[in-house]
Amino acid sequence: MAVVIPVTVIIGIGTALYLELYIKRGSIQSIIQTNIANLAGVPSIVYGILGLTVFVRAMDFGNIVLAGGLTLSLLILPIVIVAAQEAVRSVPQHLSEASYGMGATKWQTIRRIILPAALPGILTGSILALSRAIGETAPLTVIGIPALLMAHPGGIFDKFTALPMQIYYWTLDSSLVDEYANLAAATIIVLLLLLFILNSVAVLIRNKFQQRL
Amino acid sequence: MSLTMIKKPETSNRTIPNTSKNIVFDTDDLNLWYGDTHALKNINLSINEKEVTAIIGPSGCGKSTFIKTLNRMVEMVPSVRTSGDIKYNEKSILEKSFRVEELRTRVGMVFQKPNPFPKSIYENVAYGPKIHGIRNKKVLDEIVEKSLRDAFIWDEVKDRLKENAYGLSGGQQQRLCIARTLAIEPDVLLMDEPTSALDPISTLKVEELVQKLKEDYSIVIVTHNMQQAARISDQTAFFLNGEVVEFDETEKLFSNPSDQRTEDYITGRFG
Repeated sequence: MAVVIPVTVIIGIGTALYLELYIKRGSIQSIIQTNIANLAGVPSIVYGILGLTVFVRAMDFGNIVLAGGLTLSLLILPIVIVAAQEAVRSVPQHLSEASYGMGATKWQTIRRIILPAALPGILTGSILALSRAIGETAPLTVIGIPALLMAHPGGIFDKFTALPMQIYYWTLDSSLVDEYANLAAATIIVLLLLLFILNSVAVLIRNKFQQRL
Repeated sequence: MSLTMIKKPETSNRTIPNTSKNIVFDTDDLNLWYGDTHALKNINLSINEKEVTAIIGPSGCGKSTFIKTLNRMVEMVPSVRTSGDIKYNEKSILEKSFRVEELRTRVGMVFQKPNPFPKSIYENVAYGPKIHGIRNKKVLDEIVEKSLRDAFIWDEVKDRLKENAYGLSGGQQQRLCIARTLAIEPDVLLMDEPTSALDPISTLKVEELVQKLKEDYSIVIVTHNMQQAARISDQTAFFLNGEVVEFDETEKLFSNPSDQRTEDYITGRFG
């Protein structure tokens, strides 16, 4: 999470602003656009293999938090970008016109008018994407993170495990040790609660800001 | 978005009313295209300082395009090309080297639909001064109060400055937008059909405001409403199909138009 949130939000918003407000309409723009839309639909296992190749092997991170976080970031980045683009596009044109009309520069208009107005949409999209990342197992399995319950990771360079991974292995081994089935069930509840809370926050944010507009 | 400057060797059919006033805007063979559509054709107009210049004409005749060219807002539309020249206080504003931000600080604009920001009334008016670097709370307070007073809306909003501007009525929102524009202390006010979305009483208030503001500002107002042009303006230009058919003193244009098409339009035969 500590890796996924900053990476996706910063790159996601940046990309969305660039695609919506800076790039010239044309063939390059439409190629990028199509690719992002396609990437959003690529199976997560493929991202897992990409993460394994790039972060774990080529960059030699090993199976640490950073590698897992970056892999998951790649996975949800297209979703965040598309959501942020949608939010930026839905800011009424007459607001930015009013800002430009008073001699504001493009960046001032983006920072003071467009981003605040688009923020609820961006936040909602990001949180929903994040909750998808939390539930992902496949890419992490491929990276080869350990299934052992171990000490809480102290930083982004430590080894780690994830809730869905615990569930996966505990369920696998439940024929060996009966208690593992109970443990898996408990973990599922924790995971579902976490997802539920995240999604509620997203809905709350949306409702709160919708009233303001 | 690129503005290409092509000097056209066409002869100008300049129409300057006989006045001794200072000229704030002067266009010279201004042409404008949206892609292949020729939207403005050889516009030669001089806009006097501290007067109200009304632009009338049927829909799609280029009047909004024309005033958006005066502060280069028209560049927001991709595929716009212009030729000719616009001089603002003797300086050519269509040149790339002319900073649009500076131009738009001097030439404020009020839009057709009231478009306050989704912020408090105070923040709306303080937006302009803030982006131009004014941070001092006291100075901001003064600017906000003065602008709201000048726009005749201070008494209605002084107790609710922290409330969201969207809670105001349409007419109040439009006067707030005028106050917001006044806060950047422009020389010229461009108004693009500022009353077309307002009820008659709000319209009256905005018209009174325009009368008052022309003591300090040069005003160019686009309007659908010919009675409005006749009531509030000193000069009137009649646009048709991207051309200026007639440009004259308002009184003369409405009482004794020299062009048959102007007469047809103002007597309501078309448009």
